[in-house]
Amino acid sequence: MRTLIEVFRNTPVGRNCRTLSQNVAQVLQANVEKDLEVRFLPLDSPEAEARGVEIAPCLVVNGRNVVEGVPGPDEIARLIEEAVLITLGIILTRGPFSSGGAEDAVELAAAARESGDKVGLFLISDGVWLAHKGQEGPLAGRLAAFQKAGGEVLVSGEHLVAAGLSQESLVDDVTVLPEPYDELVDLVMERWDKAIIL
Amino acid sequence: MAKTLTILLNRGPYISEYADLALRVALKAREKGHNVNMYLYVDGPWVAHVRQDKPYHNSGMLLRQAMENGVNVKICNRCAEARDLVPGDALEGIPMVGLFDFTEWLRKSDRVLTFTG
Repeated sequence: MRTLIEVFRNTPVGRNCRTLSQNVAQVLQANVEKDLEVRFLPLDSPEAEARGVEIAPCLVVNGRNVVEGVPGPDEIARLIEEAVLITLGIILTRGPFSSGGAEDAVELAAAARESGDKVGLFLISDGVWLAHKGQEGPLAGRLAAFQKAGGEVLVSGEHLVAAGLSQESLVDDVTVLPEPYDELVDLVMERWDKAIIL
Repeated sequence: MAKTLTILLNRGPYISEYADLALRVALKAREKGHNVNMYLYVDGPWVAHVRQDKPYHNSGMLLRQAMENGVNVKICNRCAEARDLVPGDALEGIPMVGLFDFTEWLRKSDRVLTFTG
């Protein structure tokens, strides 16, 4: 997966900006096998505004790791490592109002999606209630926003039936899985890079 | 391709669905040819205490099935000791071991699932 490195610079380019550019160049040289894209951008660019960058020099990796000043080559290499986009699986086992679990799951899912990760939210056990349509409150809106941003919602069919619910009881665009454990094992072992149970 | 999954189970049976969920995932992962380890931690050792057959669904039955199907199960010895759970109380064939065994599993696993909280 490609990593985007943005170097925000002053106009005209100052000494610190030059040093930062040299450090980035060193990292590129040492990582020719990686898929890295570098962009040098002025402070008055729309990208700077989107990232909330106001001071140069500033380095942003994949839009998520923002470092002001002049990080050295080692730190830049570490930032690249940490900013790699992943496919994250969140398995929710709790009902929407029985604990903070559902809120944490939706917040985490939405935040990861917004910063570029692929995210699957797997509802199992009492977690299936999160997708029950007609709910009011911030949680329902957050789930809808997550879906709109491309987040995937998967529901255990077995637990849906156990709860007396059906696909018709749920919000739109969720996938009901007739064999949830089969899917879950494949997701955890093959398709997701990381999985968390809440 | 076969990978290694380690499951940490911190919950006992009957308090939540976690023991069943963890064991159903373990069984399915074995069926698909993965190596599966399960470490019974905190209240997890109580699952191994359900030894007798019962005329209703229970986690002990699933744990026996998991072991028969090749899931590697270990019990945290400190957790067992703290609950006065002695080897004779638990299903046969489950070693009571220290956390180092668990960290060794972590080191050698492709994926880790934690059923806790």
